[in-house]
Parts: sequence; structure tokens; C-alpha cells
Amino acid sequence: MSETRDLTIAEAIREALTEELDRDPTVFLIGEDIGRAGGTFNITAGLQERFGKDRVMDAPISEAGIAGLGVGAAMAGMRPVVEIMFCDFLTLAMDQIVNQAAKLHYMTGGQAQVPLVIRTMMGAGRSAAAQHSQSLHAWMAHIPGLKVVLPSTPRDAKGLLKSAIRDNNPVVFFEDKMSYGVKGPVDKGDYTIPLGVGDVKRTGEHVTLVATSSMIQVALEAAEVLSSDGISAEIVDPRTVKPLDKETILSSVKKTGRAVVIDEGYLSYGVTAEIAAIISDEAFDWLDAPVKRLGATDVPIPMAPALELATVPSIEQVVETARGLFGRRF
Amino acid sequence: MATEVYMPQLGLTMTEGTVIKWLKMEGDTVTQGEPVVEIETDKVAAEVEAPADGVLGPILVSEGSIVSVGGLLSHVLAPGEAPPALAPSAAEAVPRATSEALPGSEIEELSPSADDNDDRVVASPRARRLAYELAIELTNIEASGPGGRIVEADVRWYADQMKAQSVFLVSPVASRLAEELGVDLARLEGTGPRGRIVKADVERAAAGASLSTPSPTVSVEAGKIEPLQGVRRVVADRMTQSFTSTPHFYLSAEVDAMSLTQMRERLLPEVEAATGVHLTVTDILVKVCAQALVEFPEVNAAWIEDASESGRLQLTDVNIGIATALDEGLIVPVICHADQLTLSEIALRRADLIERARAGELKLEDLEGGTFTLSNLGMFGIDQFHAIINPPQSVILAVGRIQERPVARNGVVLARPTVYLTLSVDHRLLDGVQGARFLDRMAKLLEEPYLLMV
Amino acid sequence: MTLDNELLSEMYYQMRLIRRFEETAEELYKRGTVVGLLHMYVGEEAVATGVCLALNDDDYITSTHRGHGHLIAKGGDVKRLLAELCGRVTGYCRGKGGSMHAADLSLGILGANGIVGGGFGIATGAALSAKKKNSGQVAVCFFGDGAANQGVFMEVLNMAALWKLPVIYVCENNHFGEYTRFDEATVTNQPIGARAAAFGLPTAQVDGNDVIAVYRATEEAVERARAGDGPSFIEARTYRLKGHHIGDVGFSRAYRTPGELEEHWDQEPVGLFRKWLLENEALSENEIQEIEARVESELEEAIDFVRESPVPDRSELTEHVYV
Repeated sequence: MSETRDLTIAEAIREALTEELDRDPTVFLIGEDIGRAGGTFNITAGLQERFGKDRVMDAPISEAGIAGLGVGAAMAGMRPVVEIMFCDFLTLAMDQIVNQAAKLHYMTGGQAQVPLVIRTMMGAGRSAAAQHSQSLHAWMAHIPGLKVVLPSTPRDAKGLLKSAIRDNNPVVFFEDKMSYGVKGPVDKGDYTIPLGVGDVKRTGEHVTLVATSSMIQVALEAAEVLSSDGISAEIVDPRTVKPLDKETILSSVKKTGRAVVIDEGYLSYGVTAEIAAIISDEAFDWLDAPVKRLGATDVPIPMAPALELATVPSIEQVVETARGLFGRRF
Repeated sequence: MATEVYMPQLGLTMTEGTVIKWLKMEGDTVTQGEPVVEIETDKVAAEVEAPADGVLGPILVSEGSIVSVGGLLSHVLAPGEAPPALAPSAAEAVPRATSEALPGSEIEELSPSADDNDDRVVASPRARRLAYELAIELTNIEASGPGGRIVEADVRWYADQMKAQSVFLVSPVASRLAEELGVDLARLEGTGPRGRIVKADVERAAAGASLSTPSPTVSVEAGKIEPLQGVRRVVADRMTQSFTSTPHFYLSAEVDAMSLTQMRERLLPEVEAATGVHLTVTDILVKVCAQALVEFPEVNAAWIEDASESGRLQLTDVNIGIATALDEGLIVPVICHADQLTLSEIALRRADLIERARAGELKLEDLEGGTFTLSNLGMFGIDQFHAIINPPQSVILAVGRIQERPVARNGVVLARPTVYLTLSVDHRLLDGVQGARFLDRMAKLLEEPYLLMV
Repeated sequence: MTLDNELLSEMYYQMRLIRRFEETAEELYKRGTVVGLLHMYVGEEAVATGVCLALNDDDYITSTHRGHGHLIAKGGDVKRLLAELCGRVTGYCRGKGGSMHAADLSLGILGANGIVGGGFGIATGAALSAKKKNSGQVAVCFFGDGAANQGVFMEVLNMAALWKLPVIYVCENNHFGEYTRFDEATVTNQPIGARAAAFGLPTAQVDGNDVIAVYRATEEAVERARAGDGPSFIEARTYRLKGHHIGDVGFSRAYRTPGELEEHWDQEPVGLFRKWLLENEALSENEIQEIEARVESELEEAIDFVRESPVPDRSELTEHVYV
């Protein structure tokens, strides 16, 4: 049983990067402002000093070029960790990620490997407006050949990032920009959390809340409120959205009979639709109520806080939606 | 394409049947017309046939269960086909109003959906699954879920109620009301159909009305009570209904049986030679009853009651039922058109019916259409008894044993063979005089059989 | 390297092999054995040959949708390439990539690419890895005049120059970007190389039909790269003798001036080099014919190989999505 201490998600990610850079000489970081400046969110602070410009590279503003470089370097035996500063900018690198990285192993019949990690930032809530506040992980999850990871706690962030770096497939690692300050216990030293395995963050009896990334914190708060209604909520964190750990979600819903899926991507055509469809299909006979979804409102994310905060699923919305699944008898 | 195997309607009055024995198991190949399950209904055992060629699906109802007409028993599936997901069958029976509908039946309490325009039952998949596992019909369950959906907890609650109340019947509305008002159902007597506890009973109890029965003096050990099934259940129900709803009065006559016994002895070899059958007193009684019914058509009538009207129905055929005791209970096979049969024919027919009854091979048509019932307990040493009318008939004739008894004739006491005839009469259909005339004529015909020639 | 006879025969062999392979593939396509999209390299053989023969086996190349020539010149196996074009499991990519994604990682061939400009990032990244590993490897990025107009070209030029990456950008200007003439799609006030020169890359412009000239230019760039002096740019001017893709027959006439095609056939590189070899007594007619016979038997072998090769099993469908 290893020692733990409280770290923020930011610190946990930095620790993972540090340990992996230390451990494996083929690992290097590349991104805009990650070196000298330590990253816009300060995640990579101190890393260039420690490991040098060769291992922690400041890149020009060339998302396509940087991502492409990452693909080529990965194919040639390195383990690049590319940072795309806001996931909104994935759009500029889409060909490299979707048409090249995701498909090269398959298209070459297994010859090429692309052990690339793309770290990128998601989430609204700091008035960054429509082009800096999206959560586009559904786009990545849609593409065969990519793995998509969304950590929600410091412990998960460190363990999952290490696994992502050691994975021989291209992994897109989404960090919530508003949650870097979330604190939690993190094991000291080396440990990994496998990709594709979900986690029950809270056990309960009456309703399953499936939530990703920062929505886990929202769900945990909502569960507290619901418990005063006598509703005991179970919270399932998939942690990896692709490949998805269906079993953990399904066995929870089979137990409780009710599900609410909460994700910060736009509601339409996203992660919640996929998970809800899987639940409705494979846990149909165990459902005591229809499966509900909560996502970001289908609007370009507005700047003004009064409007912006309304687009993100809130504790109240989760509580209300969950309550609506119950009659007087349960 | 799955084909339903359901409890068929066998007979106008049938509302439910008991599953006796599955002849085929899930997964067996069946051909159309092949018997799949034995059921018991209305005093007869019948077989339900496979409606199509294929493979028998999961058995939905276990042996011993009582299923309403139309209730789903199983499916015949195409090979490799999966059984259909359970939904309330379109043929789910709502208690039907028949000519034997009970007075004051509270149908609306028993099938909540019957009045709805939308007859789909809204239930969550989880609730449906549980209802299927527990063999509970969803239409009986009250919904508490959002949007009027039946949820798992509703099914569990209903099942718990049924378990607690397995000894007596309660309507769902009454059950819920009792839960709300804190009334102990165990202490109530039901006034609903077949003794069901209904809403009014609960309300009355809640209002503080005294219990209609004192605490039982017989202690009942939990688990020892055996609910009636099959023939016995039907008999019990019918007798209760008859006894409680039909105003009976009774007419008795002691009839000289000398001519009767002499005639029988004389005709015994003749009938034997003609039919191979042993002529009985019952045969002669049937002949005599038939004649009397022809002469007194007012006795050949039925009391009919349904949801819209009630009254007297004149019957045209003379079909005489012979009450017969079997191990399973009382059944009444019927000799149809007894007025048109010779004594030999009656004897032949009677022998055939009794033999088949004992072998359990009676068909429904053997039991249908009776207009008059004859019950003879003479062979059991009974002198005289009052029988309960077999509804919807107007009378029943109870015959005791032929015995030498002291009879006073012209001031002298003689020993003569006599037989007591007791006629139970439905006072709605016949009054005392009409009954008396009929019985008197019967007595005359028995005492002077040659009157039958006229 | 001195242009000894061995090298010259090798050059002719490769060029002849590429030319005959393309013609064979075209034949088989018409018969329905080769399936999918094919982009013929006919007329450009000197570029692939000249460049690749100046590279080592462990040097990297990225190729384009018109990639058979690059793969063959880099030492690839025509049997496995042909099998791949025919969708067989014995192909380079087990039938899953086809012409546009053929690759041989063991020879540093990082793949043909279906995206115009798709090789820019990959080649530059491979060069980055070579630099980090200090391995002395170089990466060649083949691309066409059309791809030079993709934005990512500029992004990688910047980074390659910034970090002095051992990458050589070889622009095969074959006169056409799909159905559009070069001068209708690209400003011509400056050569394409001017874009690279703007970032400080040494640039060269060579006659792409002259295999020796291409070879020499590449040699120089490779030396520079291996010495750690960073990236170079080579524009090899050539001409696409066939249509954009294999079905493009009628179209071809539409975007060429009358007589243009015939004119360029007179200057086609394989024939030119054959003549040169004989004229310069580098190889005898016999030796040349021996090479040509060798090429023919190799291709026959390849056809037999395809005939005996099964198509991929259904179970292959879901394999190799992830490592």
C-alpha cells in the first residue's frame, strides 16, 4: 500500500510527465508555450529547466505541423506528447490526427505504430467564449484507432496519463481547464491506471449517474442533495471514453434500474448519446425508467458568465433530472 | 413468427381454467393439433393443442396455476426464434359478464384498465421482467411511477400483497386503500364476487363498523389451508352462488316404489339383451322426469341474469343431468333429448356417460345444456335429502333409497317399498303449487308407470 | 558516390522496373485484378530512382498517392506491392491499405498517403526523431507541385529550419495537380523553391527526367542533412505521362494541349536513360537486355504470386485498429 498525498490535478499531471520523461528517453513534449512559459495552465512549469529544450520543445503556432511531427516522430520510434492548447484547436490538426495517426497502424496492415499522446484542454466556465470553451472529445471518440481519456481526479489523471504515454496507440488526453485545482490523494511513485477501465466513484442503490471529467464533481454534489430525498445515487466514471468500459456502466444500471448520463460535450450527437444508447440496448430489461442525458446546451458557448454557466450541466439540473425518474414508490 | 398458446374458451360459462399437466416441455418440437398441455375447466379435463408447427417456447404458467380465458400459457416458435418479449397479451381476460354473472359483481375494481381508452399497459422493462418472473398480470398492478408507469416497486408491492393475502382475495383498489387507512385485511370478510374483499368492505371497516364475523374459533395454522382447484373449486363456487342467490324451497313426497322395482326387474333382461347395459332405477327416473317435463313445461326453465337484464328463459329441449360423484368432485353429465329416447337408449347413454366420467374422458358437450338435474343418493343409504339447485336450472330432484317402510293404507300399516323424492325449487321461477303439481305427477308416473303409454 | 556501372545498372534496373510495374498494374486493372484507385508514376521514374538510390536503407521517405515508384526505388518488393494493389492478404498492408497507403517500415518507407501534403508532418517528425537519436538518418519528403500549396508545407519548413532537421523536401513538379495545369494553380513569378528559400533552406532545381542530375542533387542534400546542417529543398521538374488516376483517360486530352503528350513521350526518362547508357558505353545492349529480362521475370513472378494469394479473411476486419 503506497503512500499518498494530496495533489491538484495540475500537479498530478506534471508529476506523471516528469516521471515518464525520467523513465523513458524516447518521451518528449512539444507544444506552444509549454517550455519556457511552462504552459498556459502552468502544467509543464519547470520541466524544460529540468529536462532541457530537446525533451520539452516550444513549438511555433502550427497545430497541423506539430501534430504531424508528432505522428512522424512516433512512427520513427519516439513517444511524443503533443500539447494542443485548447481542444478547439484540434480542428487545425484534424488531418494529422484523424487521417494519419488514427489510421496508420491499420492502413499499413500493422506495420506502423503511432505511440503518440495528444494532451488537450476542454471545458467552459472562464468566459473564454465559443472558440476556447468547447469539449470536442466526442469527435475523437468517433474515430476508430484513437483512444480518448478523460480523467476526473488527481489520482486518475496521473495513472491514466502514464498509461497513455506507454500505450502504443495514439491517445487523446482531455484535461478540464477549470478543474486543474481539484485536489485529491495521489500515490507517490510509479503506478498506472489501465485505459478502458471505468471506476465507481460512489456506490448507491437507486440511480446511476454516469459522468465524465469535471461532471464527476457535479455528480458527487448532486448525489449529496439526492440523498436527502432518500435517493441513493451511484456514480460511474468511465475514465476512458474510447474504448469504453461498458461492463461497469451496465452492471451499475442493472442494479439501480435508472441512469442519467452527464458530459460536457454538446448534448447532440455526443458521448451521452453513445452511452445512453448502449444502456438502452444492453440493459433494456433492467430499466425502470428511460435513460436521461445532460450535456452542454447546443449553442456556441457565450462569453458572459450569466449565459455561459447556463450552458454547462449544473448540480441542480442533475438533481432535478434524477428526481424526475422516481414516483412515490421506489 | 411466434404463435400464442393460450387458455381457450371452452364453454359459454368458462372464465378460467387450471393448468394440470404440461405434456410438452420448452424446446420440444410440436406439430399443429398436437396436445401440449392438459387443463381442467368446468368439471372437465381438456387438452390444449399446439396452434402451429414449431418449437414450444418457455412455459409461462406452472402446473396448478389458474389462468383466465385468453391468458398466455406459452408460444410456438419457429426453430431458432427467440420468444417474444413479454407484454400483456391482447387476449388478457377481463372478467366477462355471462349469463351466470354474479349479482352486484364489481368488475371495475378488478381490471383497472377496462375502462381506459388506451388499453396499453405502461410499465418499465424492469417491471415487466419482474412481473413475468412472478407470473403476475400487469393489468392488476397499480402504477406509481412518473407518467403513470408501472415500476418495479409496484410489482413488488403487489406481489407482497398477494403473498400476504394468498388465503383470501382482495381487489387492488381495496388493497391500496387498506394500506392507506391502516386496515388489517386479515380481519375482513369480503362482499365482492366470490368473497373478494372490495373497497366498500375496507371503507366500512375503517369507519369502525363491527366485524361481520367473530374471531374464528378454529385456529388456522399458516400454510395448512389448501385453496380449492379444478372441479372442486368450480363446484364450490357454483354451489355458493346457487345457495346464496337462489331462493330455494323444498317439496317432498314419499312415493310407493313397488311398481318401480317390479318394472325394473321385469325389464332388466330385455334392456340387457337390447343394449348390453344393466338397467338402473336412475334410468327409469330419467324417463319419468323427461315425461313430466314435457307435461309441465313451466318447470323446464332457467333463471338468466347478465349485466343488462335478468329473468326467466323458457327452455325447449329436455336435457336431464345426472349428478355423479367422482374423486375429484361432483359432475353432472347430461342425457340430451331424454324425452325422445326409449328406456334402452337412456340406459345406454347413461352407462356411457358414467363410464367415461369415471375414466376422466368426458367431453364438454357431455356436460353442457342440462335443463334439469337428478341426484340419486339412494345407493349410499340416504333416505331423503335436499339438493342445491344446479344453476341456472329451476329445480333439482333429490332421490333417496328405495326401502321397505311402514305405510298406512286404509287404516292398515303395511310394509311397502317407498322412495322419498325431494324437489328443490327456485321460487323466482316457480311457486309452490307449480312445483307441487310437477312432483305429484312424477310420483304418479312412478307409482303407475303404464301412464307413460298415454 | 562514383557513378560506376554498378550504380548505373541499378539506376536503369529501377527505372525500368518502375515503368514496367506501372504498365503491368494498368493491364491488371483493366482486367479487374487490381482494384481501387491507382495513380500512375509513368514519366517520373528518374525522380524516385535518383533520390532513393542516394539514400540508405534506414533513411526515411514519405510518399504520395502516386507512390509506387518511391516504394520500388527504395528497395520495395514488387510482389508484395502488386498483391497489395490486388487487395490480397499477402500484400504489404494485408490488403487494408491499397495503393495509396502502401508502406514498408523495414525500409523506412513511411507510406504512400491519400492526403495531399499528408507526408509533410510525418517526414519532418521522422527527421526530428533522427536528430534526437543522433542516428545520422535523414528523411525525404516526396510531394507534388499541388501539395506545395498546402498550408502545412509552410509550417514544416519553418520548424525544419528552426530546429535544423535532417529532412529533404523533394517537390516532383510533374506539371499537373490533378486535372489542373501547374501554372493555373500556382503563381509562377517565383519557383516553388522560393518558398523554401524564404525559410533559409538551400534549394535546387533539377531536370526531373535526368536521373543522374536528380541523384547528384540528392547526394548533396543528404550530406548536408547528415552533417547536421539542416533541411534542403529540391524541385525536380518532370512530366506526368498518364492521367491523374487510372480512369482518367478522356480527361487527359482535355487539359493537355494538342501534341503536348506526344512531345513529352519523346523525352520520357527511361528511354532517354537507355539511350544515354548505350551512347556513353556505360552498358552494352546485352547488359541492358539482361536487365530488362530480369525485370520481366520479376513481374511475372509477381503476377504468379498474386494469383496464388488469398484475399484477407473476414476476421482481419477488426484487427490492427489498435496495437
